[in-house]
Amino acid sequence: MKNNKALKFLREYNVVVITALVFLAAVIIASPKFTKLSNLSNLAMSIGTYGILAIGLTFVFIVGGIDLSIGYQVAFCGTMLVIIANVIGLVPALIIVLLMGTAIGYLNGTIVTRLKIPPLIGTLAVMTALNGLVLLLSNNSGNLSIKDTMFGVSLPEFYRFQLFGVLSPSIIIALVLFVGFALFLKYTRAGSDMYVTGGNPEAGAFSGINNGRLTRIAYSICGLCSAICSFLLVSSLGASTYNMGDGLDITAICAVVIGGVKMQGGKGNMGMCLMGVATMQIINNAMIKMGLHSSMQSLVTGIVVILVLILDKLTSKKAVNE
Amino acid sequence: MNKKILTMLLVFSMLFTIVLSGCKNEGTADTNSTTAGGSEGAATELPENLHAAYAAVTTSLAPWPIALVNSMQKVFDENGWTLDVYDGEGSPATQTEQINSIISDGEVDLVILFPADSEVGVTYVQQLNAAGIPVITLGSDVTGDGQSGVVCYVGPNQEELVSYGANYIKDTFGTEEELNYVILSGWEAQYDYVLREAAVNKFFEGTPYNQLAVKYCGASRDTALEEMNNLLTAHDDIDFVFALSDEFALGAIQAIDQAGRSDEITVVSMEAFSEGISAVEEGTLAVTVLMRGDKVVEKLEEVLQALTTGGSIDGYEQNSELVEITIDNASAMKAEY
Amino acid sequence: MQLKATEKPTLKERVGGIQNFGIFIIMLVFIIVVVALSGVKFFTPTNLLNLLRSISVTGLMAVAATLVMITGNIDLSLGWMIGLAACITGVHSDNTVVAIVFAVLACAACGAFNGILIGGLKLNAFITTLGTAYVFKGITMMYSDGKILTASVQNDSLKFIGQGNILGVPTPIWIFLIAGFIFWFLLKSTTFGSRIYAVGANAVSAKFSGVSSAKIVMATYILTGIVTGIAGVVFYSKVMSVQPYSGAGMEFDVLTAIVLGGTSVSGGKGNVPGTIIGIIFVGILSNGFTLIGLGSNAQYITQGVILILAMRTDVMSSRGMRG
Repeated sequence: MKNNKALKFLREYNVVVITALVFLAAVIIASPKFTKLSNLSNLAMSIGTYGILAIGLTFVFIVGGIDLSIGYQVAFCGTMLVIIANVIGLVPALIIVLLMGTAIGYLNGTIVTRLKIPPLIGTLAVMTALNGLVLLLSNNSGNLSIKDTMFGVSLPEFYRFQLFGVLSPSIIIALVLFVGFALFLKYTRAGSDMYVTGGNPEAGAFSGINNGRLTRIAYSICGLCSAICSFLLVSSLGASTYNMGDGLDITAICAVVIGGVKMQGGKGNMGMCLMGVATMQIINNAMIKMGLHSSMQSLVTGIVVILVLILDKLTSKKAVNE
Repeated sequence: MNKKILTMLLVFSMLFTIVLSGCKNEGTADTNSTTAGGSEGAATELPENLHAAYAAVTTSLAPWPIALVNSMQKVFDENGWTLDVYDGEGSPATQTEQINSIISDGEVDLVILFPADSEVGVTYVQQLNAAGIPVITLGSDVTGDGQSGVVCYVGPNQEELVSYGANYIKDTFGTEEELNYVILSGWEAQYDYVLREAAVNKFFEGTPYNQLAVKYCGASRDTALEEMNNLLTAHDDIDFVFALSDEFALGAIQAIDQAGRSDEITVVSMEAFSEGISAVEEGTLAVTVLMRGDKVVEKLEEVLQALTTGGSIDGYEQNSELVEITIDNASAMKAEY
Repeated sequence: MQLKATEKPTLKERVGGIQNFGIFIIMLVFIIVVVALSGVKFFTPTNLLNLLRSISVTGLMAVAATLVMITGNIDLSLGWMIGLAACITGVHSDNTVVAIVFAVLACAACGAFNGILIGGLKLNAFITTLGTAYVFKGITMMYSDGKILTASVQNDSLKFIGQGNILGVPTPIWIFLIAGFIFWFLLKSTTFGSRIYAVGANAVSAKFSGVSSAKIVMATYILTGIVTGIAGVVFYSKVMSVQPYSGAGMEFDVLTAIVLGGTSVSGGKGNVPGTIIGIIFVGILSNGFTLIGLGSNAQYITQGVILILAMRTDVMSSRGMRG
């Protein structure tokens, strides 16, 4: 009896347990540099920025798809943001870029649902095309720094503003999105239908769920999140660069999967997503604090991903055998 | 169902706007101060037991940064200084996190910056200055606005680098004839390559030379080989190749050699690695320019020694020595190298 | 999808005539455009040989990875595996045999690692190979110290692998074609081959017929590792120099080639000739654009669009929206 309960707890909350353990380990190993307030706020900033990207990706995973193009979505939106903002100002540019991101997401969704191209290839193709666009734009645009101000301060300062020492705009926006989307998934019809689309599309089709439409919505949300993330990233950098999106897709995928969202679709929620992002960012941050060489950092990241996968497999297998 | 979604959206866009408007600036960061590092870099003082951080765009992706970091470790060890090395892996996002980390730790007296991106570098300079940490740029500078916050720039002058090859071409072929050429560059939009390309265009302005193509080879000799192969097929009449690094020149020379067109095509380049110098010695490469990492670091050492002993440095641009390598001095340089 | 686990796939399915139709058309159209804009330069022997040589390295990896994908899996760690192999070759560039043996063994070990996790523990291949890619990246960077590895001594036998010619055709092309032939034969005419299809089509029913999917999957990953090791040696010897980073991203070219060639992402379908056509297509895109004179920006954009068109015109059965 006791074993069952413990295992059940572990299975359902394993990701929270992992995150807590990782945080504890980081505190022990990498203090005092890690526990400094300024570092914790840096951590919160990166959890916010990269978390938003992961939130978008979670939707795509829930409906059973994948999106490899998010890195270049961020780069493209960021570049466009700077170019447009330098012409007509930050706020209108922001609105346009948010719409653009959503449109790119919708394009991905259409390619997957209407053209019936497997998401892996479809988003790979969009990624390649966006790559070309970003290069084209950044080569012909000269100065790509963004001089605009937000509420009277330059964007990099806006990004680093701290409320109560750890809350900066990126983590606040991330939390707002997190709560909003979590409510959406739990309490709206569309939200719960998305799980069916991902988990059992045939059954969904039979019960009158419009799988195609929900999938397109999921990809559009992902595109919107990429646009928001690009705004934050540009703020943090003070400029846009052609390679600002490099590696973001893999980091987001790893984070979401570590959190426990399944790639096959139909399972997962915002909480898992956030935990996954937090775990990965804590590990990254701690590794920098420990002064680990970058090759070691890659090794550790890879091992963590694999260990989490194995752990997940073991805990669910046991449950099946009972 | 629709009502629910709408209410949700309404609620959270209200929250969003409240949060954003609530963020007034009374931020913890000071406004840009130029206290740490004036425009002539005169008055910065550094402690004798210097503890510096080297935040580099990369310490491994190309031979030039590798030479830089190795020499720096040596110099720091010899002088009894401490150096923390941060490899940005070519990514501004990574470098930003490292800069944040450096600021948060608050342990270093100086940051030596080889920026991943010159615009973004301006932000780093501002952040570091706000935290009271002076900055010296190395290898590649930040753009104009940021330079006021930097103590000095130590490194090669990109235009000068290009000038040797450009002048060689003009002297050898004259500026009357219409010649076709291609440029083999590195990473698109990386600042040093951008400056070098611009310099090539500047030096050839007013000449009848015809630029057929610019190809980007990353940092890879192999890519340069493939690109050159394609270019050779596409154009029968290439007269010279301007490679923006020896790495690409070597790939191009191999391609030209395989195609049997070594007599028709001249190759000039820069950065001078030992293989490049050998190529000049053999006559397959016409010109390269020595911009050795160790020379740059020697200059850096001069600067740091001055600053840690209460002295001052003369001027913002601390350019390292550049030596043109042609067939005349190649063997001699090789021996020294 | 019929469950014919023990029957050999039909000739049509194996040779994949219908599956590749769309690709042929798009390729033809593209070649016509290139020839129209740049003259007959495309068809000169030099250009064609250059083309084939430029895709030999990724082609090697692609024909082996086809097996992995037919079983319904994927390998995203290829880029760092080949990086490791090339670095090993670089470090041992003075002794050809040692270089080859060591590189192949190392990559076979990497492949076995993948195989244990994916075949044995049945972890999700996509995310697992993303994880192992990180691991191999760490190993490669540590092994090479991040440095460029250039040959310091003349090693003609090694040089011959990457830069030599046999009967006027560059060596890498021979190696690629031989590997292609071997894998084609493996898939088409051996029991091993039909078991691979069986596992891909339906792992459960394959099990009932006594086929151990774990062993088959392991084998596909190890084979991929071995071939990638060889590819790494070729890659290094093309210019006798390598940077550890050089292989990153190759897995996407490989993936593109395999899928263009008709292999289904969910497994059970596909063949080697298709993959070969796929990788040639990828090469033609790059080569063609340079001949026309378009920059890499235009190339990337068009590549994305063409990929979609090629997939679209392909008569691929839709498997819903699962990737």
